[in-house]
Amino acid sequence: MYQSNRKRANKELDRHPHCIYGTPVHLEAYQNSHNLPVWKQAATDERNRKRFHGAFTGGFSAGYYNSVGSKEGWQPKAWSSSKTDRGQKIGLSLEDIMDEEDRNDQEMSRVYSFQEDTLEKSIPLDDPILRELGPKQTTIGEKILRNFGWNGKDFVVSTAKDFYEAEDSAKYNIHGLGYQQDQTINQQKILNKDLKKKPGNHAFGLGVAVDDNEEDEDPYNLGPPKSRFDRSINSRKKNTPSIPTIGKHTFVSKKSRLKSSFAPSTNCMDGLPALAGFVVIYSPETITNQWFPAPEVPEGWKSRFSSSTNPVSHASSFHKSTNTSERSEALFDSEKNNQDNQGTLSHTSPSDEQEWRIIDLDTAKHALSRKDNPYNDERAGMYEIFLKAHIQDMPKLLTEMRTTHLSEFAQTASLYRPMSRNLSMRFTSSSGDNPRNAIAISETTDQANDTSILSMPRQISDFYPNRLLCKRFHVRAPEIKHEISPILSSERPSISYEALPKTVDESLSNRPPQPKVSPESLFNAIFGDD
Amino acid sequence: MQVNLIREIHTKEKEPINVVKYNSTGNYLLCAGNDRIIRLLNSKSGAYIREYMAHSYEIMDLDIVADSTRFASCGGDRFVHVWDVSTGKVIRKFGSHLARVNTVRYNEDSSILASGSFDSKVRLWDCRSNSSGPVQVLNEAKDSVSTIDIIEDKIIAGSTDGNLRTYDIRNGKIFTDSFTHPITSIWTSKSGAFALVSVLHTSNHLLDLETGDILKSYSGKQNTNYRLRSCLDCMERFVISGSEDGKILLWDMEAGEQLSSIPTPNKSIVSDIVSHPSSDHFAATTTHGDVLVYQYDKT
Repeated sequence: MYQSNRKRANKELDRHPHCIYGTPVHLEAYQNSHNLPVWKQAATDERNRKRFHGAFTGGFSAGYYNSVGSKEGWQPKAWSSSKTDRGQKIGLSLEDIMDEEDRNDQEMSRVYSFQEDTLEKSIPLDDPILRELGPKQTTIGEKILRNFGWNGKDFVVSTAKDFYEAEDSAKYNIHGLGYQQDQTINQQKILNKDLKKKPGNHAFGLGVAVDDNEEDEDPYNLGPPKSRFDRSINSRKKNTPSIPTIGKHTFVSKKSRLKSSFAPSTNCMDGLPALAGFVVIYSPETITNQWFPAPEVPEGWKSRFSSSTNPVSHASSFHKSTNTSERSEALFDSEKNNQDNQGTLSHTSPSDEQEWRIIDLDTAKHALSRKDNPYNDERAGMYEIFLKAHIQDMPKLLTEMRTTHLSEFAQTASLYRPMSRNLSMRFTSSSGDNPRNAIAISETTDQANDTSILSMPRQISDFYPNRLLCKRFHVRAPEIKHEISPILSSERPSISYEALPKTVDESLSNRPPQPKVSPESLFNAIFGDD
Repeated sequence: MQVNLIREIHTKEKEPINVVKYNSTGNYLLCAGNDRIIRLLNSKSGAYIREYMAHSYEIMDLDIVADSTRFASCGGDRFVHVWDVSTGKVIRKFGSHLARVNTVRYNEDSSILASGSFDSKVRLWDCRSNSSGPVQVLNEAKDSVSTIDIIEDKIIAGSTDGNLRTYDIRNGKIFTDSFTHPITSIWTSKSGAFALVSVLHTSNHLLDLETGDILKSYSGKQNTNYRLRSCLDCMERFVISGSEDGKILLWDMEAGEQLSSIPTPNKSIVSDIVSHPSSDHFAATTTHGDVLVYQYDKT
């Protein structure tokens, strides 16, 4: 690959020895003008006219040096009669408006395109004869590739074989695919065996008083002689077996080893013999892909869950149906049937189902249909669980909730009904518990969809009118008892209303009586000796 | 039941007029709408007295003080303006609503002005002091507050969330009556015992304010899109309401049956209807910019 560099002019290489790839940059352009005298540093344009006008140097010559107008100034063009020239088109062409800079910009942005022959473009590169006949111009990409050593025709795609070793179908180890265990640890072990054991070096960690730097630490020390190290890392690789054996070590105590007669025969996975005191117990032969029989189901046991009714049949009816209503029937009817089956299988009577509920199913559905959660603290999640438990008939979810929370959620659910009229019209509120609504229903006429006017009975909650408001209404400020109200506890003000002092005098009188302190004792307490 | 159109007043711009009110004597009519101009008219002759211009957005509601010297207006510019009738100047401007103000109402003394807004809050402003902020803000509504009425020591606010909330100041309680449809307007009886509630549906309802029961329903109107107000006549025998099919409907209040259905001149929708405080007239305003004065006669 480096041969191509020879093609590059040697003179370039000599000047830029650091540049291995790519085209070297000409550095002269980047050198700044610190060494130039002042007069050479002035900025000039292409015609060597001074670019910055006199204001920069202290004089006044605005306008002229920017080449607007003429030396005399902005003199308007003299008037010329157009009586005889009527009818002629007097207009400004684009060239009149543009100045030097605009013309430069125009030139720069001009795009030159070649008239390429379409036939020539379609010549494939792999045909050598045609390639010779075709045009010689190369693209930048090709140029760069050639710089890197491409021969111009081959594109070799390496196969997976190049990267991965052949794996057997069964894998008996716990490392990933293609893992090659690092062999340095094995080499180190061998090295360790060779080394003579030094007398125990107990002091690892220098004492406080010992200064490391003062010892003869020669920074130019070459270190341990190189002959000790391996020249390459994987020199031992040839010794490793191609099929690694599984080496699981179990500790075998000396006693048992002496007693029984197992031969510590096999080697471990890495080919080395098992460590002292350990025995290799697994080998590939012992591991089989064995299926163990499932546990026996005791007689008479019935599952709580029904297997879904023949999914094939309902799927087929779904696919057969031609329009949305049929399909929805096929989908949702079967769902409903499943739910019913579940209910019966779990042996709950309707009264049982209702017993654990705190709010009824309709209320829960309504409350859940509203997307917003009235709580914005940790109760939000619990409220959702509360509603879902009611809808999905899972009382177990509520066992962890405190009863205070449950009653609060019940109140909230009854308050937070769906706002959309359509939704509320689809579900009717549970009748029978409210005679007031019954009256309302009987009054309405001709309203097939409208079953009730009021969605729930009147709710009463606390209101804390401002004192000024009470004054304006000529009403004494109400005393509000703290009854269990359906308002959310987050809305309740933290200060109780009647606890607030009504007038300034009251507040003064409310102050706790000061302990009577004699002036003498006070003096002593502050200034006296302790 | 005879209902006759006795006066027709047309505005040039033909913009919808959103509100019309009689003053306490019934001699004058104040109307205002999308053309941002408040007009004072003589109710008997229909003569144009003067105009009040300051709003930059449409005007949604008006309320006149009992002695007819001042009135309050509110609208899309989120402010509540208090005007002096004779000079025509804005005396005060209350503003901290975040959205269009739909309704304003004075209390009996005209010391407190309540305003309800699309931002779901009811703000109570003090007219006696110079404070710029509200005395109290009522947050209970979950949607736009469309109507407010004040009787004695209760503030009643109706909202498009379907709830009618009665704030009892004396007892420190809120009574919430939940309707299944958005509430557009409320007209309380002179006794304060019951109120006519208009909802965005085919009927208006008479609600017992003490118990929360529905006393009567008056069906037959078409109302799904606009705020159409309804009222009781001065003797509280009839219920009068507009309808989106361009008719004015009258019902017998106690019986609940529809007595009459009058088409408006160009079948325009009647956005506000208000009854004369003492005589058997009522004024209706349309989305065509007309003020229509009717006289009814139960023969």
